[in-house]
Amino acid sequence: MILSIAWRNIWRNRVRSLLVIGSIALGLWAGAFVIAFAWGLYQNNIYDVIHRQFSHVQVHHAQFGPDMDPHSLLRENDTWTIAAEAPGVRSATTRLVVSGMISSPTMATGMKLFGIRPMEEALQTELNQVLMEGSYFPSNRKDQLYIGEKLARKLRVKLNGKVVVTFSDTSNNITAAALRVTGIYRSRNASLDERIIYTEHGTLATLLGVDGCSFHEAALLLDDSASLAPNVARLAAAYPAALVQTWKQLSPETDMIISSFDLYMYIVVGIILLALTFGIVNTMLMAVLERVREIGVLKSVGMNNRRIFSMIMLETLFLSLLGSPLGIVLAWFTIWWTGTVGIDLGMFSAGMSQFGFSAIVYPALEPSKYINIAVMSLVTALLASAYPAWRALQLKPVEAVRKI
Amino acid sequence: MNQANAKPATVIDAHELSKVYNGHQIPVRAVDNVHLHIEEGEFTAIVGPSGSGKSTLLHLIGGLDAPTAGSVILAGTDLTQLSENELIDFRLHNIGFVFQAYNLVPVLTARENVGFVMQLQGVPREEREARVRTLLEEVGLADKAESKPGKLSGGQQQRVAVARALASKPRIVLADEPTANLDSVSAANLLDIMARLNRDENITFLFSTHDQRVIEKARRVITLVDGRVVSDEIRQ
Repeated sequence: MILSIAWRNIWRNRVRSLLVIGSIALGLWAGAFVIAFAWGLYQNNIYDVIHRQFSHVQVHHAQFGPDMDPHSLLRENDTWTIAAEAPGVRSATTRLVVSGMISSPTMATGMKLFGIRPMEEALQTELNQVLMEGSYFPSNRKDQLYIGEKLARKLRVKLNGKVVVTFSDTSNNITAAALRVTGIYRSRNASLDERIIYTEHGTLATLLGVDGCSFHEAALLLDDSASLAPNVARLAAAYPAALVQTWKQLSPETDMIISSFDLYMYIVVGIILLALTFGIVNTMLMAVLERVREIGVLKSVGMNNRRIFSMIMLETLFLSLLGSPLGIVLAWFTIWWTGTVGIDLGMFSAGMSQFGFSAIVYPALEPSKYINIAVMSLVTALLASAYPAWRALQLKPVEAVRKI
Repeated sequence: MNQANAKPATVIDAHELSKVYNGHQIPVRAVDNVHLHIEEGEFTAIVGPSGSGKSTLLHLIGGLDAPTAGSVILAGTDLTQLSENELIDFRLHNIGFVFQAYNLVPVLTARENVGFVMQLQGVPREEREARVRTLLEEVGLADKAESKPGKLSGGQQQRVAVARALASKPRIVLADEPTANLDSVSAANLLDIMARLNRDENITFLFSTHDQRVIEKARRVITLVDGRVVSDEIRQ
């Protein structure tokens, strides 16, 4: 009977109840969508980190370190070949890396030069996909340079223009080489475009004075993260003294984003639900104060405080149970649709690429997150109705029945 | 002692009952040192002018309000010694209320309003439904069982309120100005029903009223003035 009364009570003021249901649905929808949008942004970022920068796993000489010691080389061997062709490995490549200076006739700046194997790199980081001007390593020439658009602009160098790169070789001599810009790229990460340049592995090997099997960095791109552990183990076995690192270790800030995402989600949803709380408290308080006399009569005829309290709480629960699924369905549909077609943030793309974000965002949300948000909404609604329900308990039957 | 000579049981025993309201720093003595003794089966009216303390006395007897002094012993239980929840439970099983403004639960049908109290008591469904039918027939509203209060006239609503008051099989029914909002036909009808229930089922009724029709039907009339009992007339 309490259930029945509570259910019928919420329809006594249809407009008000529909407004509350709508508020709950809208709040949930907004909360879920904001989180899905943020997760979409982060997914882009994670995709870039894995597929455009670090791959899933990298191997460096233990002494290579952040200063990129040119002497800290590893060599391709049989176990590397086995690791590169192991199950779950989509592609593998090795690179030489040096840091130094790049200068044009008008400007000089710091750079990080990668000696890559163009075909393998195209599979590994889709480096050929970001070509803006010129060609992606078009010939067998030894002086080809693939340079970021932003750096090219900074150096005021054009396609087919010459630049000089300077760095230390493995004999600790300063080496300089004139390279010709054959391709200009623009990746999603403008800050990297300003520092990173590419030449062929053979070219850099010659300049460093090492052979073609030597490398500073090896990278494995996997089919998915599920095969991460066995491949890390395989690489560790291939290079026992080397440093084998996953993309999370190579990009701790991305790992931090993922691990703090839940916290972020709870804060955003918490703020939205806090706003919702005031709406529910206000509505339920009105509903109680409008029924002072009726609640007094119920107490007079024998309805105890526990039942009165339950009745008010149930009314809020019903409103939430109607609003929450509506909000979740709306959110699910919106996230599914925008997640399929993507949201083009082209007008903000310049600013977003500074932070490594793509201009097209595909919102996404794990099913468990929907449940978390719905549970948070229900708990909020019940907490919000506790005060109006408590106010109902404070009503003295005699004062209530006297009220006209 | 045989049944015919058995002395009726005392239902209400009020001793030195007082209620003082502290309105605007001037104490108002709504009920002033009232002694009252009501026995089972009585059909008693408390009368008096407006503000004489009739409703307050009824509220004190029904445990809806706490006295400033004195005690109310209802069916052997001292109401002043009960906690709020104990009082609610006591009212549920011992007292039926009829209010001036009917005060039915608007979202429930007549049948549900009557059955509601029994449901609170935990009466099994079949027994409950049977008693609801009986009560609605007794108050002449069997055909309105599925109507909500908003679809009933004032007289019909008050008859549902009487049925609700009787549903819990209370020791006493307290009715606060039950005919005040009714037209003469509805009032006469309601009084007939209550008088019949009192006569046939020995249900004790205590009214507060200044309606002459109720007073004429009552077998005992207690007159209050300024919160004091000024006369207590028993009619044969």
